Amino acid sequence: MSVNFIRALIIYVFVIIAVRLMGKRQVGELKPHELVITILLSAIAVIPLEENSMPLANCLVPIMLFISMEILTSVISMKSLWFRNLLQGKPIFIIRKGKLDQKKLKEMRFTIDDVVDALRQKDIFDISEVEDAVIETNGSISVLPKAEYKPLTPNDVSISVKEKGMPITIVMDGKTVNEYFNEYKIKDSEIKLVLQTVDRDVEKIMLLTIDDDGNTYLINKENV
Amino acid sequence: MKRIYIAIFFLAVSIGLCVFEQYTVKVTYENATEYIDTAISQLDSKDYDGIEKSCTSLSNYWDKMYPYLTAMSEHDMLDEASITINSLCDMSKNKSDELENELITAKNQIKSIYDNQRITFGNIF
Repeated sequence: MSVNFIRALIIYVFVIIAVRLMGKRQVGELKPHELVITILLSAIAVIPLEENSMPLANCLVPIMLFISMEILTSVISMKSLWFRNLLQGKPIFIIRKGKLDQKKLKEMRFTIDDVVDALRQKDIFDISEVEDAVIETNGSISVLPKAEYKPLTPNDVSISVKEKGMPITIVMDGKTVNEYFNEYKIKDSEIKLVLQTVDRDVEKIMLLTIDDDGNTYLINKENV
Repeated sequence: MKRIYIAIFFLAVSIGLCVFEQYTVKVTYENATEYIDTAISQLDSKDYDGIEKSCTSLSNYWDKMYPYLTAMSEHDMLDEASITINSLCDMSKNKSDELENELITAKNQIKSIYDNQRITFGNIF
């Protein structure tokens, strides 16, 4: 039992490091080879936990190898378009200029139900509204609606709009936030200044944000 | 760039471990077999002091290599070989009739570990 505990701990740390090194992607955004690596990692990590007689190295070495290969292939993919296409495949049009390409659908083993389903998930309920639709390399479908069905933008009606910028979080869950997105530091004096404008104790604030124009948005903590 | 270095480091560590494993298993197999062969030839010439010395040397050598081997080979096979090798010392002291058979068993067990770890077509596929 205690051996299992230590082995599980080592494998946990190792797998977490491995996944972090692979980069930030959600399961739905994984490319085919990334999905394969993820499944393999989890399968390999389980074996030494089930089998105490297996050396831990038999699990750690393949994990190290998979991660190295994954990083190296992604670097080569960035340098070579040919290699990228080989590894990830190419996006494929299934609707081009409003016409459904049935041959491509058959090749991709996609049914018309799959297409209609994917369009609905993109808030398009009528296939005739689609100009182009592409199956991406991760299997998701990207859709370009016909011009007449596209949402109206300020640009379409020649209205000039001001960039609002992204609000910065100053206080979160009763604690001040000194940096955002791991890049920009916020000075304590700046935080103090913002807090003065809202006139609240930090501990009593659930969320406090400020935008480029200095507008603050405050959510107070509730006693729940 | 940092990730590439980590990838290269991981790759180097993996390959290094594999080379170390192949080297350790081969050297252990060769040396252990040599001790056993010496003991068998001493048994033929009824040199019981020599047999006891060879078996003790084999046991000490095995104990020295065991921690390295457990990190790379299946523990079940190693444990079986350990039991046999450790029993050789007592059997040689008692001048047991079963000593020769036990020496051959130990040799086969060590060979089996070696064969199991080698890079061969059969082991890969």
